[in-house]
Amino acid sequence: MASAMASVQLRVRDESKTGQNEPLLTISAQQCQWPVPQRSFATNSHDVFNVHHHTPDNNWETQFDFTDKNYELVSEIISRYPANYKASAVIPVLDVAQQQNKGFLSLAALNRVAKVLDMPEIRVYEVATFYTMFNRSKMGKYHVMVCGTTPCRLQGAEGIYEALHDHLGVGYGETTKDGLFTLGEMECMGSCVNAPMITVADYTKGVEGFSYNYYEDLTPEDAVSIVEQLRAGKSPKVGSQHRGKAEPVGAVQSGKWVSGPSGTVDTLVGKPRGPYCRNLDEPPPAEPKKEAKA
Amino acid sequence: MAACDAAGIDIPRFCYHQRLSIAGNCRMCLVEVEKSPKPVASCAMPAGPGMKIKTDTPLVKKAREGVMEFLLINHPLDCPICDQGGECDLQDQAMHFGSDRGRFTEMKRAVDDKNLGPLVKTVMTRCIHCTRCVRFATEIAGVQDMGITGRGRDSEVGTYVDKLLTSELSGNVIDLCPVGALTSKPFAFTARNWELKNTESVDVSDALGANIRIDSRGAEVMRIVPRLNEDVNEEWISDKARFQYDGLKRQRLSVPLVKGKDGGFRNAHWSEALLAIQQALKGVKGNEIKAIAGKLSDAEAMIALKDLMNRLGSGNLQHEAGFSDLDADVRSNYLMNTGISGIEKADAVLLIGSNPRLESPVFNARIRKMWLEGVPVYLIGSQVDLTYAYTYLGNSPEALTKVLKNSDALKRLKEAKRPAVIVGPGVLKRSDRDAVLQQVHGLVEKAEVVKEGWNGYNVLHDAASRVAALDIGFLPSARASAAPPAKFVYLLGSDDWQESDIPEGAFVVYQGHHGDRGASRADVILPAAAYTEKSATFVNTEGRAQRTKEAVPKPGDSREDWQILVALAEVLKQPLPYKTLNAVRERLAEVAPHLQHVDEREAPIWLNGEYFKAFASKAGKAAASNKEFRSSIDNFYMTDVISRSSQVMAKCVQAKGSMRQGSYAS
Amino acid sequence: MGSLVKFLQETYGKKSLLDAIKAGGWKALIDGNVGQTTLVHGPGATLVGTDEFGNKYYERMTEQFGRHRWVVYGNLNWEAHGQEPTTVPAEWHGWLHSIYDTPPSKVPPKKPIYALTQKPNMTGQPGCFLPKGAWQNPEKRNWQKMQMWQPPSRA
Repeated sequence: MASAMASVQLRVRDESKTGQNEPLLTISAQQCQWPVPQRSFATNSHDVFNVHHHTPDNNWETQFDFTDKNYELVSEIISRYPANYKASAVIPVLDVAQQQNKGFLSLAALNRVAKVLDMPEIRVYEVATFYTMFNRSKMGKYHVMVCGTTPCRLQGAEGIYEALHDHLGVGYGETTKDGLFTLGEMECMGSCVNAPMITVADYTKGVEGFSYNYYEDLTPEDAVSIVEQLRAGKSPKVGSQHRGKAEPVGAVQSGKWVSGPSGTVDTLVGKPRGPYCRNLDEPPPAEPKKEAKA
Repeated sequence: MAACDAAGIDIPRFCYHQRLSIAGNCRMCLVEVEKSPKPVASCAMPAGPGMKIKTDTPLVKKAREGVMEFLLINHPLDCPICDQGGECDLQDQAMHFGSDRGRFTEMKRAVDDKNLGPLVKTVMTRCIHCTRCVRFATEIAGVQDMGITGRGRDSEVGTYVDKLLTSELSGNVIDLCPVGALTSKPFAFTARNWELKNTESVDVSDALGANIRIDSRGAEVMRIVPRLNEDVNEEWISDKARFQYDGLKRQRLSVPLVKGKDGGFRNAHWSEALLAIQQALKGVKGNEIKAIAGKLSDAEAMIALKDLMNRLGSGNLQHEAGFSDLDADVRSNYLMNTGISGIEKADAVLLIGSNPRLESPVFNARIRKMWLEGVPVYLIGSQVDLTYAYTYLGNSPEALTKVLKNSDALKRLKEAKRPAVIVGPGVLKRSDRDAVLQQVHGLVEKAEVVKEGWNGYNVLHDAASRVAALDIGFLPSARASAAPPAKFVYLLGSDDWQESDIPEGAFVVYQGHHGDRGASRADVILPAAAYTEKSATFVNTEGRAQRTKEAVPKPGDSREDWQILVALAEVLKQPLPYKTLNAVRERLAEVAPHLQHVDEREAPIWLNGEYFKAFASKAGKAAASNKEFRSSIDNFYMTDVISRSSQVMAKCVQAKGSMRQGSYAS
Repeated sequence: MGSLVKFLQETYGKKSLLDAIKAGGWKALIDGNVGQTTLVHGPGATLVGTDEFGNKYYERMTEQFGRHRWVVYGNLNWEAHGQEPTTVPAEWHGWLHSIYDTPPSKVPPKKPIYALTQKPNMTGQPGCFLPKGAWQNPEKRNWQKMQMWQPPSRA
């Protein structure tokens, strides 16, 4: 009874705020719709599904064939492998196809690769869906990939993403309306020392002019300016944006470049503590004599 | 794991299968091995001498429980609406190793269902990625259609976008799937496996005689699944054997029908129908009476019909569709002499005029198995995809002559210790059969296919009743070739007769279970039992007598074939000396003793090539025409009355047609 | 008492109390639920809405939570299968059980395309559900499992 009273009082107090009979929570008809899937189900951040779904620019009617120059390249790639293991060339050949096909592998491209390598289509399809750097839906001209692994995250990758997101108006896996940029997330690309970083795959110039550049030591402003330079057709500075050589002279901290104290480097100096690696030039130590008793 | 199985210890498993390669990706078979710091997957661990394996320790139990928990993370809880329920490996093993609650609170994944064609239904969310189906398709069936796309928790088993599974053995992935991801489409939501009556029987859709289990409920055959028989079908059956059962429910004959004066059929009593036959037979004598046996006729019916015909003074008997007059004196001449499992011992194979993929898909899987082990395969016949690579030698008797003269293939066959030659049913149906067979015989002799302890001369048949018909001599007698045009034709389940077999104006009796071409032509129709409804003897292409069992009751007024013939003989005042099934079988044993030895294969005697000489002298020196070799089967899914009546098979034909027009060809 | 009179008059559509009682209102008086609803629970509540079956939905926010919304069935006559909870349509059911707070009378519900019209439970009455194989079912399923061959038409 006491609890019932309490709840009634609570109710009364509520009423004093909201007024009688006014609903506390209103669900509109729009809110009752099916939720739009927020997370993509694909291996990479760009494709939505792992399986193919027909789109206007990627269906059975799409055509693809290597150019003559690329056929030379492909046959060179195939020649690296034994003749009866032609299928080994699938990853590099798919890469060529992706570069030629403006950044993504259409069904036609997969079919063509399967034909060139004498493989069943499904095996090519398996490879193309397994690896994250193969895209299977229409891409922007530049694929901007933000590193999202721990070191970059610690150094502010989220800030980079937000800056790009605000500037381009797209989230991960989306393409800007002018078809210029596709924003993507990548896992560690090995530039942790210069974290945070982004990578831009340039699909504007086909296979010959294809570039896959790292831009490191970024502040959010740097990221935006790189994108702007690309938009203007310039080529931004590749590599670290703030240091000349690989030295611990500074770091990005909370979105700002902070120079290290010059001359007073006190990390990674002096002899490290042991245990040390044995000297590989010396002959190996004699094996300890075994005990006579088993 | 194989060691544990041999010791009689059951190790839980999902991905491991004896006949497939080892994947080791389900991790359910973890065991503890002494001196190993971690539990090991027993399927991928070779057993070593002195190895101590513990399968029942707390560590093993805990490891398996952990694996089970992971497997169940993404497995939906839809056992009540799952067709696998009750025979599901995951269900069974979850009873042992599953927890009653999960610790997983995230979103479960959902996967798009794939379309694998009209036979296999997919609910891919249930898939646990054991990859048995993928391995089966690539290794056994030999079609590179299935694969795993994506990776990690997003991996999915499927085909290339919307390609279908194009194998004649695709139904076997249903049995292989340890969960309910791949289930039978025609069987979907029709019955639960525990309410089915299981009858062990034999398939009649091809001459292989695959061992099957007929699952029935009441008067209905609900599904057909394979039965293990290492010597015949291992554990696979073809799609036709598995899915043609719905043809047993359509177009059936259940009452005797007699054609009236107005040309229309009317229902009749048995006595009426038999008397009508008696009336029709008045004044017809000797070889004017003709009997044609069909593809699905059993040995009992054929012996009864033969005896009856002989009593009526007629030797005008023939087995339908083509080679009516194959010489059946020497059994090794028309059998698979190596045996179906024995073919695996061969080290070189030559196929002549055969497409085993259509004629016997399970047998084709065996040839593929040999090919995988490095046995060279040569083909004289139409150049089609046999799921394995072969050396194509041409497609005409001329090519055969060329091979015979001098060729690498001949050399290779000669060098081989155990060469095998497989003659397809298409060869036996040719009009110039004798000439072609002489060439084949010459090849057999020249390549030394038959040697001490090895007989590699094989004939592959395409109809379940053919070997039995040849065994009991259901063939035209010597004088039958000079027979006048038949006035009375008795069709024993025969629908694939040629127009010339039944002259205009002849009185036709059709005895069978399906209304088809034969029934449409008939004047009197006697309803008989289909192979699921009777106990009958069939002999497969290697000469193994096997018996079907009665799984479901016969529809309506129909009777077993031999009973009808015995009754007819009585009406015709020519009573047959047997009244029971056992008596019929005794009579069978008199004619062909090996038909009594059920499930045993009696190796035929090879007359040291004497037969070839006799054959050559009899056949004379006819020249072979240069017609191309053709398989006797054009449409795998529709070969006999049952499969022609089946809607599922019709859908298969349709799906195959649509596949050809698809854009995969590019 | 006044509210009871008003209630009986409202529910039975009669002008005078006597007519209402004659029309079956006396049953409402001996029925415990109706008595409770009308005499103890009902007075002073807001009528939120009425559905197509004539069920009336009341709300009083001063009531203890869980008892603050209730329904008075359109057909109170329990002998004639009245007071049938299955007459409450889905959208009212949601409001009644505090699944959401907006009554359908205020925000018209958006019905999904697969929605069926609300039907009361007809068990034991004419029009009740019959399984596909029930012998009472006039559109009985054909249980014949085999399809027989039909001879071709006379040539």
